Amino acid sequence: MPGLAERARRTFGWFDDRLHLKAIFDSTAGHPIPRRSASWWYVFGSGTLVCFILQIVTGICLALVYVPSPNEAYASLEYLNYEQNLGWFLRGVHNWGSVFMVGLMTIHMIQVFLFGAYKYPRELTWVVGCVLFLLTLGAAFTGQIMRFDQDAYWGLQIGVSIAARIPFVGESIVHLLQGGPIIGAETLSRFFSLHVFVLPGLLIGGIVVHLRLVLTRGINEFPVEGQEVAPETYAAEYEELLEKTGIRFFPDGVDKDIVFAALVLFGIVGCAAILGPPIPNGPADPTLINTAPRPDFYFLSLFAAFALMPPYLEDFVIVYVLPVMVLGLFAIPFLSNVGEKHPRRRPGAVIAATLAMTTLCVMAWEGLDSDWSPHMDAWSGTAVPTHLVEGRTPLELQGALVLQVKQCRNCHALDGSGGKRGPDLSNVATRLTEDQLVRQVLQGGGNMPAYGKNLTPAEVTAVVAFMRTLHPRGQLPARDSAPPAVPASGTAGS
Amino acid sequence: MTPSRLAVGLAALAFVWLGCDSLPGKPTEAERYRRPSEILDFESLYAVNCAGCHGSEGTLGPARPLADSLYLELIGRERMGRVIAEGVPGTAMPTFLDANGGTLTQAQIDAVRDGLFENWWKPPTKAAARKQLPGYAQPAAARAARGGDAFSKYCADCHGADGLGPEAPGERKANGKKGGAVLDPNFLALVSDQMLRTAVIAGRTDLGMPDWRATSDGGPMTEPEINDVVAWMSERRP
Repeated sequence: MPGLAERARRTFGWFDDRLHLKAIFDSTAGHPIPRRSASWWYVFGSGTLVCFILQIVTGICLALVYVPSPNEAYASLEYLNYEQNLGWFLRGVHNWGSVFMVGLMTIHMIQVFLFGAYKYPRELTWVVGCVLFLLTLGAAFTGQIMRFDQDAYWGLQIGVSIAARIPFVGESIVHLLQGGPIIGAETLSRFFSLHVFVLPGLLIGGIVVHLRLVLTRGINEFPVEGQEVAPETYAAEYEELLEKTGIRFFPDGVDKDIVFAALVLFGIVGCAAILGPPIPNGPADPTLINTAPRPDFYFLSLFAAFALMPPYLEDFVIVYVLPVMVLGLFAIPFLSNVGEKHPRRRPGAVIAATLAMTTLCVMAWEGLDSDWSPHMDAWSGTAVPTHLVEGRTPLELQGALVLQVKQCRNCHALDGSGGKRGPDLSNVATRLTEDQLVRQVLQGGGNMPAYGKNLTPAEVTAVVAFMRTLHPRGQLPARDSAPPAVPASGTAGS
Repeated sequence: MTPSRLAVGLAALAFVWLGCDSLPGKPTEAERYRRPSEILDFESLYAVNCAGCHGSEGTLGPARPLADSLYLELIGRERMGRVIAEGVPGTAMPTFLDANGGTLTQAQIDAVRDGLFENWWKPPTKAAARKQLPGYAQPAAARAARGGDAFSKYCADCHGADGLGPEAPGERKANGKKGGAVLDPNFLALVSDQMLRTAVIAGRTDLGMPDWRATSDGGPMTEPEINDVVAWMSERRP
């Protein structure tokens, strides 16, 4: 009677005889790579793939509970969060999986760009990678819609509004995406099928092509200063490198990828366990006006860019700038596909990558802060700092009340609390004289509406009296540089 | 698998299972989204709707302190509910009932009112009960002509004989005037007679203004004096 191992070997042999599994495995996972390419710099691509596989697994589990119907999607999310045992954790892993996937994919792209790995003969690998990047962003965007909360609803509104600006076909695209002219019953179903069927299917197809290209043209060699790419000699040089330093990816060069995959999984599970899933912030109901929707982090920079740019630029950016940027990304290997690969010999590439990432990060930070949005409940919910109340006269206190009740605080902070759309008023008396304050309140200006018709003279006097007290101790309030030429009536002799 | 290994495995699984339930990332009920109209706890409602003007702790806001047992005793539960629901026309107090254009339901207004009394109202002590609380509302029979005398007697020390307070902030300490201008026409235009009466009776103890029992003259003001001084101040309104 043969042992268990022997029986397993025989069974595998039976299948292998028919399917040639070992040969397929050896020629794929066992493909040769230059020894130096088994580097910590080369782990981000496989890390992204690990995230994708995790997304598929957790996505299937979520789909067992999630109901893709506008009336029930939000409730099924709340069920996962609060009722289903560890449902919140599953959501957390799927959410953080997508965050890690987009993050690692971005790092992978930057690394490929800086190492010149897109150059001859890997132009198509880069192009397919760009397609995968856009598909992943698409999956992230549609994933946010799946929550069908306030963020999802308004994110969707902005997404389709952007699509609607495309000349000639904009309206048809919106109709196709939404299943009608407005967000309705069919909209969620369409985005659900995009998120769980279309985009993952395309991603799997794209990954297959991407990995096929890695097999046919080999993994990029580690860049060496002074070693230039020339299409005529590259293939021979790469062959020679493989002969001299080649190792098999599996089992010789895979160790760092395995360690990194473990770190990625640990990071995702850790973030899910400690930070949890995003809490749905209210059902997708446009009548709920007490909301400050924000996109997930991948789109924060775009959100900030559209919020900060003047309205007349929006069409231009949507129709020209964004497509040109995407085309530029695809065109990189065709603009420069020979010459130096090492980043030290390509300062332009380093500067471009640094500038692009700095801009994205700063814009994302701005998007997180979104100081341009008024805090709609600051007037009734953000207390006047107590040190600005103590020692004030009855009129000044009434002025502070006017500042609250007329909702000035929604845009203006006191001591940093309140809206940030307008300037902080904590030291306003040092900047504006009494007359200037009155003028500013009555006539507005500099992005502030005029309040002349909304305030009584007594209210204006009171609010200005209060603001005149807003200066640091020991620093006098601003005053006119010259006394008025004609004394005001009633102040003769002063 | 030996029984001991099985037991260790099961114990580890149970530990993970139970431990997962108390991980910091688990969403709590407090984080769960509730429609604004479903929020009924006093702390949340007060923080969003009242703290802006009345102070986050119920004191030291520009508007009347609500963490003031004497004031709550004076106004009473029923009237407090009405003021929140309907606001005080002509003053900064807005209407809060949704039917009147506000943002709160009647149940939420009841929750705010009850929360104010549960948190900040204390039954009057015996000594305080002896000094009978004046009536909340200003009677029509007040004699404004006599109010000037009451003002000079009880208010002028802090607010100035002319009721216009110290002329400059630095003057306050020098001449002992602590209060501001209460006869300033703009101030009077912004407040109701009821606000003046409430201030005379309940003071603003958080800002150093005493209630009607502890005026600078020593003894408590009589109810007719309170009526008269409020009527007199009201007459000064342009």
